[in-house]
Amino acid sequence: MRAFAQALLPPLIRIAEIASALLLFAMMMLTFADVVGRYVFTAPIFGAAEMVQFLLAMTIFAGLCLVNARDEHITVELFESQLDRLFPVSRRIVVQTFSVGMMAVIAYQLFEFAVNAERIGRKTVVLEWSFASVAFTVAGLSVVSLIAQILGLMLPRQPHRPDETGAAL
Amino acid sequence: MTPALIGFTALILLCFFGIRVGFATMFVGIVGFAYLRGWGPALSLTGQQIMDDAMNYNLSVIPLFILMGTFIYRADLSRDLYRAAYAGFGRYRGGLALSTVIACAGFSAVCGSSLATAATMTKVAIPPMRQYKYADSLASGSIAASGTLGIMIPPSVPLVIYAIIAEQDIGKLFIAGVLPGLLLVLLFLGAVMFTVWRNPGHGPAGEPLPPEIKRQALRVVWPVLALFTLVLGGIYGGIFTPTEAAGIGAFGAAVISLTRGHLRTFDEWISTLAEAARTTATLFIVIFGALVFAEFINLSGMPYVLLDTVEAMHLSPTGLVIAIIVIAIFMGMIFESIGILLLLVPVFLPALNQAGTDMIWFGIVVVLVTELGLITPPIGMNVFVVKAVMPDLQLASIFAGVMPFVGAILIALVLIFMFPAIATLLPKLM
Repeated sequence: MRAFAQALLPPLIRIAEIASALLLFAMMMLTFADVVGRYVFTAPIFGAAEMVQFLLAMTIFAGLCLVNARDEHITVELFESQLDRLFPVSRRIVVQTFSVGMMAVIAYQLFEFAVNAERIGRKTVVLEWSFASVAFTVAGLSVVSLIAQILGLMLPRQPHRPDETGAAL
Repeated sequence: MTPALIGFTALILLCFFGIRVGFATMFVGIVGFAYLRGWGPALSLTGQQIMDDAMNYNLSVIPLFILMGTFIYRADLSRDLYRAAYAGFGRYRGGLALSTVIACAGFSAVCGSSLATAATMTKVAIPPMRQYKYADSLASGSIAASGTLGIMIPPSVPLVIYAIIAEQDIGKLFIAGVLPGLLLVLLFLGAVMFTVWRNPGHGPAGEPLPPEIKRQALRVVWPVLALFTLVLGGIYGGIFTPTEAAGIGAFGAAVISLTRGHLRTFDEWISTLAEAARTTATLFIVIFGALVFAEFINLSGMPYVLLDTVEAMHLSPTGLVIAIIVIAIFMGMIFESIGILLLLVPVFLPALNQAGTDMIWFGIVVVLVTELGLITPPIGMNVFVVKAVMPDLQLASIFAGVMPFVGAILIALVLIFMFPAIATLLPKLM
C-alpha cells in the first residue's frame, strides 16, 4: 500500500501544483488585462468577471488536492498533544476517517449539483457557457483531492511547518 | 435555540478533539440542518452552498491578495525593509524593536498576512537584536505583536471575510482599516518605548548609519509604498473594484519580485503560485464549512432569539458590542481570526443591524479583537510562529514580551470606541 502511494502521490501532487498555479496565474492575468483593457484601450474583456468566477472554483479545488495530500487543514491544537498521549493511534484514525468522510460527502454533492445543472441545461449568464461543464470539472477535482487525501494517509506523517503553512492568512 | 446551542457545543468538542475546523463546522451544519429539515435538503444545501461560494466573484479577492502576499513574501523584501526602518530609528534606545514595528507595518501593508509577517521578521530581526543584547522578551514580543498589523492594515483577508458575511463593501472596509492600522503602529511604538523606559537594559541603542548607507537603505521603501498606494488608492478613488485591485496588486508584487532577482525559473513560479492556491484552499474549506453551519444557525432561529433577548434586556448598542467583544475574546482562545468571524458575526448580525450599529466600524472593532487572540494564551498563533522559527526562545518569554502590546491593542480598542471616526471617517469620504 505504502509503495503504491509513494509511486502515485508525488506525480499527482506535481500535476495539482501545476494546475492550481496555472489557474491562479490565469486569474491574475485576466483581472490585470481586463483593467488595462478598460482604461488604456477602452476595451474590457467580455465576460471577464464570469471567467474569474470559474477560475476561482477550479483554483480552490486544485489547491485542495495539495492541502488534502499533506493534511494541512486548519485545526485547533489546544489539546492535541495531551490527546495524542492518551490515544496515540485511535485519535488519528478517527480524525482522518472524519476528514475522508466529509470530503466524500463534498465530492458526491458536487457531482449531484453538476448532474442537476446538466439536466436543466443551465447556462452561465454572460458567456452562456454550459454551467454543467464547470460544475463537473470542479466535482472531478474534488474527487482527485479525495484520492490525494487517501494516498496521503498511506504515507508517514509529515511534520507541520507553522512558519510556512497558511503563510498568507 | 436549543439545537443551535447543541451545535455550538458539538462543534467546539469536535475541534478540541482535532477534527479539522472546516470539516467539523460543515458536519455540524449538515447534521443540524438535517435535524430541522431532513437529510435531503441538508445535503443538497451543502452542494449548492459550496458551488455558490466557490464561484462568488467577491470572494475572488482572497486568492489574489494571498498571491500578492506570497509574491512579496518570496521577494525577500523583509530584510531591506528592516534596514530602511533601522536607518530611521536604529540609533535610539529600543531602536531595533521600533524598526521591527515599522518594518512589520510596511511588510504587512503589501503582504496582508500576520503569520507570514511574524515568520519572516523573526528570521530578519531576532539576530541583530540579539547582537545588540536586546532582551528576548522585547525582541520576540515586538515581532509576534507587530505581525498582527497584517490583519488590520489593508489588504486584509479577515476584513474581506467580514465584508462578505456582513454584506459590507470590501473597499470601504479596507479604507476603514487605514487609520486604525496607523493608530496601532503608533501605539506599538509607544509600547516599545514604554518597555525600554521601564527596563533600559532591555533595548540598548544601535549604531547610527552613515548618510549614504541611510539613503541607500531607504530606497527599498518606494516600490512597497507605490504598490500599497496603487492598490488602496485605486479602491479609494473608485478606479478598481477590490478584486481588480487585488489582481493589479498581485501583478505588481510579481514585478517587484522579478526585479529583485526572484521568479526566474518555471519551478519558482509554480511553487509560488501553488503555495498561494494551497493557502486559498485551506481557507475556503473553512469558509464552506462555516457558511453551511451559518445556514443551520439561521434556520434554528438563534440570531432572532438573541435579537429578542437583546431587546428584552434593553441593552444599548454599546453594551451589545461590548458583550460581543467579550465573547470574541473567549473565542480567540480557541479559534483563529477567520473562525471567530465566520462563527460569531452571522449569529449577532440581526441584533447589530437592529441596534443601528455602524457595521464598518464594528468590522474594524471585531478584527482588532481577533488580533488579540493571535498573541494571547493559550493559542496565540503568532507567538507559536516566532517560537517555531527560533526554537531556542522561551514561550513564557515571548508571552511576557507581548503584554505591553496587548495593552496597546486594548487602548486602540477603547480609542476606537470613544472616537468611532477613527474607523468611519475615511470610508465616509469615499
